[in-house]
Amino acid sequence: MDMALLRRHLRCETTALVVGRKNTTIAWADETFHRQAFAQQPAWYALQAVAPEVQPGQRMRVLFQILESAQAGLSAETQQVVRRVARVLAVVMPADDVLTVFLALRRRRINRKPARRFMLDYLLNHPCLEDLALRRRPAWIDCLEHALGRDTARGALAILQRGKCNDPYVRRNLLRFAGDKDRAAKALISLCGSSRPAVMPRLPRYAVYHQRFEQVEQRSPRPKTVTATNRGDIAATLVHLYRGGPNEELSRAVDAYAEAACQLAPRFDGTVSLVLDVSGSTQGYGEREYCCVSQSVALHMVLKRCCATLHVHQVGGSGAPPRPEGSTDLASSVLDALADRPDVVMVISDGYENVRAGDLAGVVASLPTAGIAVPIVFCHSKFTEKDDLALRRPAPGLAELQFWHEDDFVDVLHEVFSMAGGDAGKRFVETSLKNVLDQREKEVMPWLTRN
Amino acid sequence: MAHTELMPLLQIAQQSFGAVQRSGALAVLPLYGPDTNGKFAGPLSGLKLAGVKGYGNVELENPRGSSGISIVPLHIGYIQDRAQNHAMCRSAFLAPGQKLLFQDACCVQQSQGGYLQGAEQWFFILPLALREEALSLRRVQSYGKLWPAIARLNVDLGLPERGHLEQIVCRQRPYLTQYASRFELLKGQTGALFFLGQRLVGMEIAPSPRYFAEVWMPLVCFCYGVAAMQLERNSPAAHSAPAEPFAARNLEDLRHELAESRRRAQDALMESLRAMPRETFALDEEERFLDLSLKTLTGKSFVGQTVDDGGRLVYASIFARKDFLTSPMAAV
Repeated sequence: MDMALLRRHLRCETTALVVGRKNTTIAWADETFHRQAFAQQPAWYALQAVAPEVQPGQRMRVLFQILESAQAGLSAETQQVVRRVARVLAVVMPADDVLTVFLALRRRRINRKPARRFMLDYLLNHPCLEDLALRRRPAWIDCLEHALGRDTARGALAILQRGKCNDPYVRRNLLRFAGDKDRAAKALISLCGSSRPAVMPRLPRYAVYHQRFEQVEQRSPRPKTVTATNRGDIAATLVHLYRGGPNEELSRAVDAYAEAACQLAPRFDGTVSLVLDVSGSTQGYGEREYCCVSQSVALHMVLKRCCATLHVHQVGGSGAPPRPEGSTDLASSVLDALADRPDVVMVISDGYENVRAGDLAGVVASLPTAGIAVPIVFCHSKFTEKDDLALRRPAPGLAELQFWHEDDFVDVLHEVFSMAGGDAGKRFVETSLKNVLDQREKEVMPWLTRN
Repeated sequence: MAHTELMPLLQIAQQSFGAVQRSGALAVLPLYGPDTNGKFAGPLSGLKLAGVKGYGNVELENPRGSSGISIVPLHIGYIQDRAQNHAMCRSAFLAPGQKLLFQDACCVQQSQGGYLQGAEQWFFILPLALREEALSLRRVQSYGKLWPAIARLNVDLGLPERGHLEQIVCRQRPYLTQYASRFELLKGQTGALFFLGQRLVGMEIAPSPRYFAEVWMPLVCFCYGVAAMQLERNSPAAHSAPAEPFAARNLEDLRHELAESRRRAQDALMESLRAMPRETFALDEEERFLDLSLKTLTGKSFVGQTVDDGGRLVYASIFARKDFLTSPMAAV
């Protein structure tokens, strides 16, 4: 499984995971894709879901996949990673999504012990247990009955309904999964005994609880109206440099801004070959003049500070910072970059290839036959998030990333380094994703600890 | 009436070829020639729209203090909000400080009232499919003379049948302006040959790199870009076919095969130029300005206007006629 493909899928595929009320069979189009990815590299697969910007529906699929799969054959270390990811996902995801995943497990009749334990842990220890159980009562009870066994669950609830909280059967079969047994018992009694209150706040408390984790993932706010100089400090200063010619103060400021941006960027101890497109078209025109080239050069400035070895192959342009000029021969430059034997080739371009459009695609299609497996990542330098890339994809088969604001650099670099081949790439992915998992665990402090 | 041929014009203009650029249906072969060292002002920096004095009457001005004589690019047009947009049907000379009223201009926005206001503003060049008719209607004073042709072009592009060129130039602009990036203007470039598929459809020569830089975007986006857009939309598969992989077994072979395939493509384009039927033009001198002579060329497949300076060609805008454009061979 191509990890870049998986990452792209998790970020871009937006189809929701829906479990209908009446359908007895449930299916989703990318189920085989997820199953294969998990089967090949379970820990890596699971870790990808913790990364920022993964679509909610995809997180649901990953959680389902983890809970559905038999983990007996996995190494202890892999099992531990996978469980940690499942716990973090369950805490980060909205409770409604988690219940949908549980219902999907029920429909599929998945009753492996780890999955059932996980469900009970979630249902009985949720910080907003009372609110969740009350508002999603049918689903909550369905999930409880599936996890515990229908007869056991109904028997235990019936005993609880009679007020016997300390009944050994209830303690042994139900409350032993709850951290705070009294609280869980109280919530269950109230669930069995009453109907929904007449008036409830519009936004459930459990939803408010999970919102805090969505906020952690939110990107820093971007300008509503994009101009040449509000897309990050480095590009803004470069635009002024391009507009006004060489200026010592501006040049010093660019270096300082690049240094600051570099502090947030990931580090890569391998080799990157960069194809930097500074051809005439990157100059742009009108209010976008110099925007594309400025952001491309800005990313280059950060890149050179955070990777151990960087080879640069400039397409067109001259001077420092390079002024856009000349035609766009991406294919030849990519071949030059591959000759460096890097761990990854990064192409930063506006996407317009004109020394025969199609040459880059031809070269890329020929690489497997030529015995070259170095990953190539095409990074689109855009003016705004909404730029139309229809005519700007010179090699549709290449992995693609996009950036238009300086705040995108961290993600772009993270992705590029993750795609790197060889040991350097593997080291980076393993370290960085585990760092992300550690970080997320610290942020969300999972209350699911029993599995 | 004198006669000349198409390809010798390039020799007269002392133009040499650059490396071909191709994107989709359109290919551009850059031309490099001598710079006239500031004798001519650029059309953007040296030409100002002075205003409209009644529909079909457009006044252009070469401001006093301008850097040189202005050659009005053939089929230049202007667009403004809430004004009847106009285009010129011919080229002309304007000395610094001179104003010239084009009484044979054509309105290109059928049902819009209001006059263009004086301004230094962006301009377009009429789409290739309209140019032959526009040229043939020079000296004809009828502001609505191009509306039927514009309406036909709109229909060809799947747009409402109206004499409104802004349906193409403005509403298709997000697509068309991408041609400015799909093709790069190169340093020192003074002209270009434009091809649709393998077929030559236009030859544009400017007196200096600066002049050509100012006319490049209107030419590549609105004149030849519209024709390319039409071809690409009519047969999308033909112009976005998946790339054929090379058979190379290693990096060096791949590099060699890439260079070789590019050389073959350039050779094929040059061969198609050489294989073109011999095109003889009838030359009609239209205007003179000291040693400068503006002529209209009429051939079987191409028409256009040229300017020569004491015998050396300094400006040319020669393009394929409608019949040639719609012949099966042109739609390669």
